[in-house]
Amino acid sequence: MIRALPLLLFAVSLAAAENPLARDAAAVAAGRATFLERCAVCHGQDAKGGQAANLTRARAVAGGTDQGLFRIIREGFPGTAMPPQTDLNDDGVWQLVSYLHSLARPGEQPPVEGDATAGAKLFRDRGCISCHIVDGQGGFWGPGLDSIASRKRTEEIRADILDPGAVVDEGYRRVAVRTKDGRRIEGLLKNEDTFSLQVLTRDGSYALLERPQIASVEKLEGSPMPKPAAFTSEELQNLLAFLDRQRDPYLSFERGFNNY
Amino acid sequence: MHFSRAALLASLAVSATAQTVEARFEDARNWATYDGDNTGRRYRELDQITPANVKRLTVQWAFQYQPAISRSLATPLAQDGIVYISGGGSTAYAIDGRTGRTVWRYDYPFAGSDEDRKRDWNRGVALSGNRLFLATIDCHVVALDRRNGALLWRSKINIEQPCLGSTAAPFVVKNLVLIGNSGGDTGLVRGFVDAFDTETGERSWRLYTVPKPGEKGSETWGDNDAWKGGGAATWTTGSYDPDLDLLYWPTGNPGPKDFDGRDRPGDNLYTASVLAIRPDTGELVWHFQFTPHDEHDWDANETPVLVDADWQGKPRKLLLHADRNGFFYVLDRATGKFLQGTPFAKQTWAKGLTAEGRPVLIPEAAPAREGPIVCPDIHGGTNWQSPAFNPATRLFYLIARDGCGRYYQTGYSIDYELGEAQQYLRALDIQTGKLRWEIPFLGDESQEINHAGAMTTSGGLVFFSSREGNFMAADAKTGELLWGFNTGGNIRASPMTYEAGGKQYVAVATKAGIFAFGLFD
Repeated sequence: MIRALPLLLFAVSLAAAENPLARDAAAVAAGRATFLERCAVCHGQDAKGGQAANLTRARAVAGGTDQGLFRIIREGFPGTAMPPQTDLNDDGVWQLVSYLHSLARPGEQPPVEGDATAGAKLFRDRGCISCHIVDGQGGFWGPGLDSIASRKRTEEIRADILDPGAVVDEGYRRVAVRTKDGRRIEGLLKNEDTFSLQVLTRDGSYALLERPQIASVEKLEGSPMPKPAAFTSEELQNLLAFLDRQRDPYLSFERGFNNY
Repeated sequence: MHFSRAALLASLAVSATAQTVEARFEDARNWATYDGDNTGRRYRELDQITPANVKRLTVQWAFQYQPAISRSLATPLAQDGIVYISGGGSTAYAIDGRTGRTVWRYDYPFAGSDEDRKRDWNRGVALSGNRLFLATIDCHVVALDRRNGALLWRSKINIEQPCLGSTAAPFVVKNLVLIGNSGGDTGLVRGFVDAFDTETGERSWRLYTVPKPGEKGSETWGDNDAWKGGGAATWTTGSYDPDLDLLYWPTGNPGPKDFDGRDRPGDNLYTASVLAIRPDTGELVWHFQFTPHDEHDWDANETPVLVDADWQGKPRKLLLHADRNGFFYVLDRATGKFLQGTPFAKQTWAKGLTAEGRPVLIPEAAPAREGPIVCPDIHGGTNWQSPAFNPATRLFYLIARDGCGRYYQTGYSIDYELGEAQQYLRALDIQTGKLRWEIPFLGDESQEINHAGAMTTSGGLVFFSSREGNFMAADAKTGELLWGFNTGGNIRASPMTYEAGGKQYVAVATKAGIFAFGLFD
């Protein structure tokens, strides 16, 4: 009993290890209000920095633990102008954590509104599934989307859908290679280095090429993904809601551009 | 394509007399499963590299694991010029088979500790069509699209038991991906083979390798709970005969205590055995136990090698198995009938084998408090490192260990001391079990356990490695050591060969990654 008591007190003073209000829309809104009132003067109205750090990119926000950020807010940052917020209760601090994480972390925004079931149907009917794998179904030409919502913010996903050619992920850029023996190979540039190229062709096989065999490499403009036929805003919202549910953490595809 | 009828008949005739190799493994340019094909022979019909030109073998590319891992037991696979390998149970790579450039990498999000990661090793991945399968560090199977590494499904391997690893390379038969478990020395697990649908990841069946009370075989255990930690773990990859439609899977030592069998009186089926399993149902068709009531940690997880050969004048479907207990077994793989068993390494535990293949024990070899000296030592006459069989030489190649050690029965599961040992690459005549030739490992490599296996080609070579990282080639017929390359680090994996861009490569995984060799031109 004597040994247990101080431990118990210690646990209480640290609050919860994980944010109980994570991805909670009301908490994010409340956190934003608190932020504008107390923090924006130094960190900027959009949290992108001013006199103090850009919190949409700061390491303690984008990385770090929930509890670590809680403590920085509650206790301040010693040696800087960042004051402690001792008069905010735990919920108030967690609301700030929810808001800041929603800005800095792709997977931490509140659930996107919309009819995810209708979005799933759209994903199939509009042919998205012919190139993108979700839940084990789909084609290989585009990136798998099981964990898209933990990798990209909804605004980015929206932009990717409406203008696929604006930003194309590495590994999915189109390329046309002409070899010295007269072949023309078109496909996706999966990887390349100073000496070699690996091009995935539409039939699912790889053309493995070495620079000395190659006459020219043309990096083609635009995305292999076609611009979609017009969506109604409701359809788009439903599709975004469906993609927002794709949070499978077991998809972690990484392209080895650095010879990983 | 047009074939004349005569040519078609001729090719049928050849394939009928040749091995029972599945069509999906016939393209010799690929190495599409752990042992190269479904027979477990580790033999490929690639002959660019021969005894005459092997001196021109040089490194064509190397690949380094990033992040680094503590060891690699993996055999790389190759399909259509792409090489696939696991980095333990948490990473899979697709690699350009001509340059070593990574095409994609899959990272399994594993939340374990650094201690867990230190134990993160396995024997590689499996392929089926456009699917690649990885057994993960936390006892799941994941299926990936081999073209881009996207996740297709994830299934838990046996949720009824603690996860002590599944370190085998998975094995695909028909529409099933098969995987077993590790941990047979802990007294905490009961072995099994799990079969998952390659398309959906749904478990089709599970075959426990230790029967529970009341099941057939349970009479070979005592009237207690020992069976629950009875071992017979399934930590290596099986083989498959499509004509007989039988899957062969080997099992490990019994538990709960390896060196003390007093709480498990009886033969302890189906430990230290090979099981013949009907792949569609998981039904056990026959079994053969190499070491009944094992008390020396002599797992039978060595590869079951399927060879069709004349046996005493008649063609017969054979299963060859060099066991950790020091005997080389020839079984009829249709029935499980024992045909022959001969020692291939120094052994002092059995007077011999009966007509049924059961060892005639020497009582003094049982583990005891004072620790009798017994051969083989705990590492066995051989171990999981792959053997190889070459149909041209009719020789069976394996890493053999002549070693003796003390086995103490002191209450611990395993308590031993090693004595002197000498390791070899040996070539056995499969008809007689007799030694045809051997190459000794020398210096520090003579005794330190060598877990690097062998591979052989129609070019007439056998490739093998040493503990300290020499990758070597010998004449498959004569055993003359012809070539070697020092990779500069530990090798604990078995080699493979493939062809890409018209060039033959031989490759082996090291702790660091992969070294791939081809002829200098």
